[in-house]
This record gives sequence, C-alpha cells and structure tokens, in this order.
Amino acid sequence: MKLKYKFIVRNVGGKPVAVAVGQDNQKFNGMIKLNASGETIFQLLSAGDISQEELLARFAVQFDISEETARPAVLAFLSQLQDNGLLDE
Amino acid sequence: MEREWEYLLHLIRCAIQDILPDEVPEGVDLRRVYECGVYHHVANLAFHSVERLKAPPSGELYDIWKACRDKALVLDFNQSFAAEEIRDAFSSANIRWLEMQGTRIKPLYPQSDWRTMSDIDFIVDPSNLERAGDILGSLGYVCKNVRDIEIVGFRMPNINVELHVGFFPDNTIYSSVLGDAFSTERPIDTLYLYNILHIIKHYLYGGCGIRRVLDLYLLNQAYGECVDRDYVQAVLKRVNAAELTSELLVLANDWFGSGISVKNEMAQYIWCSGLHGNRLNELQNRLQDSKRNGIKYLFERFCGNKQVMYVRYPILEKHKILYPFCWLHRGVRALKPGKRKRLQREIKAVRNKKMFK
Repeated sequence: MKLKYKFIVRNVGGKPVAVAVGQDNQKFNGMIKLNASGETIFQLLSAGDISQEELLARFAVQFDISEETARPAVLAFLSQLQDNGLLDE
Repeated sequence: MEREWEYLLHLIRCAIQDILPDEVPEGVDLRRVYECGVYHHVANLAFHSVERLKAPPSGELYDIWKACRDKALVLDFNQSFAAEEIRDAFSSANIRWLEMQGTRIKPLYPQSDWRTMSDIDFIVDPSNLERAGDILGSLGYVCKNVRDIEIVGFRMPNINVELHVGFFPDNTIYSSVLGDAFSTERPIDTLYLYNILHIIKHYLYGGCGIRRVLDLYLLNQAYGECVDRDYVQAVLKRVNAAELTSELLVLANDWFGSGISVKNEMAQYIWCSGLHGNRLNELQNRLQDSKRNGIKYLFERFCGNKQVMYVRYPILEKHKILYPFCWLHRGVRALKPGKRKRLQREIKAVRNKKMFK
C-alpha cells in the first residue's frame, strides 16, 4: 500500500502538516495536521509501496516499542486514511 | 476605521516579533480588521496573533480567518514544491536562472506561509526564454509568451509562474540601473536594491500595501547592515528614489519595529492603496470621518501627494512653478482607458449619496 497522492510534510508552528502538492493538489486540496506518530506513518507510506506488516515493524523500531503495542494506533490511523480516500492498497 | 488599521498593524508586529498581542481594544471592530488584512494580503499572518489572544473571536469570524490562514498555508506548500520542480528542471537543462522576488523574501519571514505570493518569478537568459517556456509546458503549465520578454504560465489549481529576461522591463526608468542580471558582482546589494526599487515602483503606480512595507522592514533587517550603503544610495539617487526610500524605511521601522502609530500622508496613501472597491470604501470612510467635501477630495486625488509628484516629476523639486504643467500631464494620463474608468468610479462615488451609510 501507499499514499494515493504526493504529499509534502512540513513543520508549521511546531506541528507537522501534510499537503498534497503538484497536480495532486487538484484532487486533494486540503491539509492534514499530524502528530508525531502520524507523521512517521506518512513518511513510511510516502517512500513507496509498503506492506502493512513492514510498516508496523518499522514504526515499532522508530518508537522503540513492540509491534503489539504499536498495532492499534497504526491500524486506526491507516483506517482513517482509507476512509478519507488517501490510501492506495 | 483608523483604529482597526492600527490594531491590524499591532497584530502583524506582534507576529513578526513573536510577542503576545494586546487584547482587542474597546470599540475596534475585529471583522473590519480581518477585512483590512485580506485587502492587504496579511490576514493570514495576523491570524497568528489572533490565535494568541486571551479572548480570540468566536464563531464565523474565527472560522473564516482560520480558513484564510489554511488556504495560504496550502498555497505555500504548493508554491514551494512547484518552485523546486522548476529549479530541478532548469538545472537538468543547463538553463541559468535567478530568483529575486517572493521566493527570496519569504525566508525573511518567521514562517514561509506568512508571506503570500501571487506568482513565482524567475529571471532567465533571453536566449533561453523559449526553452524555459517549453520546460514549463512539460511540467503541465499552460503558457503564454508576452511580447518575447516574458512567459506567464499557469497550472491548476492555482500556481502562476512568470519567466522574465531582466530585472525590469526596458520601458521603465529602472531597467538599466542594476546592470545585467547574470553579471552582477554585488549579489546582496543587487537583491536589496532590486526589491527596494520594486517596492518603489509599486508605491508610485498604486498597489503598495502593508505587505510591501513589511517586506521592506524585513529586507532591511536582514541585509541593511551588509550592503554597501554608498553604492545603494548612489543607485537610488540615480532614479530619484533615495528620499522616498528613506521615508518608507522610517515608516516600516515605526510600524513593525518600534510599534509607533503613524498617520502621515504616506501612511494614509499606503492604507488606501489597492483595489478600486476598497478605495471607494476608504473614500466613504475618509469623507465621513473628516467631513471634507467630495470636491476637495477629488482635487487632492488629482493633484497627488508631494512624494509621488517629486518622483514622477523630479524637476518639481527645483522648479515648483511647473506644478500646473505636471498636473496637466497627470490629467492627460488619467484619460487613458483603464485610469479613466477608475476616475469615473471615484467621481460617481462622490456624487452618489447612496454610497454612504
């Protein structure tokens, strides 16, 4: 899976914000305010096609937690992306 | 309206200086502050201070102001991305380019999105203009060649790009004063001067609002101590802009540095500068506030203020007796189609009592 559109994530006023850029901005003309974990998931999805398990593994390493601990938050976030039409599976 | 204006300047200064703003003074209409901010393209910046008020506005005003900030933020992301795309493409094609306007001014602001840009400007070699235009086309821009001296491109939803072949068009008095764009040995002096001259140009010919004065303040903060002052002054004197620049700098420092409220002629000119709709609103307010009659207002508009007249007609500084001839020339210029319509609208506004609340 990967993000459906090309996003850029930048720190704005101390918080990460994601905006679809280029021609994709016509299809998704909004912005997404993220927290630290959301930003990490966004970066992992932006890097290219990645399986859910691989994403979970990398996320867990990044935050130095077990995959079981990370799983509910990661899946919840992926579900939100899916519901908003931002995920390409 | 004057108090709303002062409070807007206060909000901007607090954002730039990263200090907490004063709460909204009694009697200040915050919606009018917002509208003034929109008019001057600084509402998004002012929102940063609004969010920090102990008692920020609620309801619809907060929502629309926040939406204004969000829209500027999204545009900033996209313009940054677009600019980077174009730079990469020009590099790959061995096309030299310079950026001298918004993309160089934005980094002077505490946050990039606080400084909005209507378009992204590049200067390219005249011999590469067509190739540069083709590159824009390949990136999805719809392009138009303007008299072989510039190319304007547009890509949905809202990215405008302009390609120029020099600092200023050949038909302006500033066209030769900075030399060739790619041969300068004084990059910082040139950047500083270029932006000052750009601001002066807008001041003289309409469209110099708060944002340009803020640009000037931040430009001077960043580069004022680094430039060769003798060289800068010499160039400004050549185009008769030294005194006006000095006065604008004083105003900029008063507004955004020390926070002094200034209500002189220059301040009022900048306050009114811009779209005709707002000029009519301002006319309405000024006539109501001062109880001056419309004939006197139109006379003052026709005659122009001293600074504008001295720069457009430098001979007046030594030969004030020539004022009537300069006014005549000004009157003839006012009869040009675009200016004539504006003049007609203002005359109509003075006559039409329905324009006044």
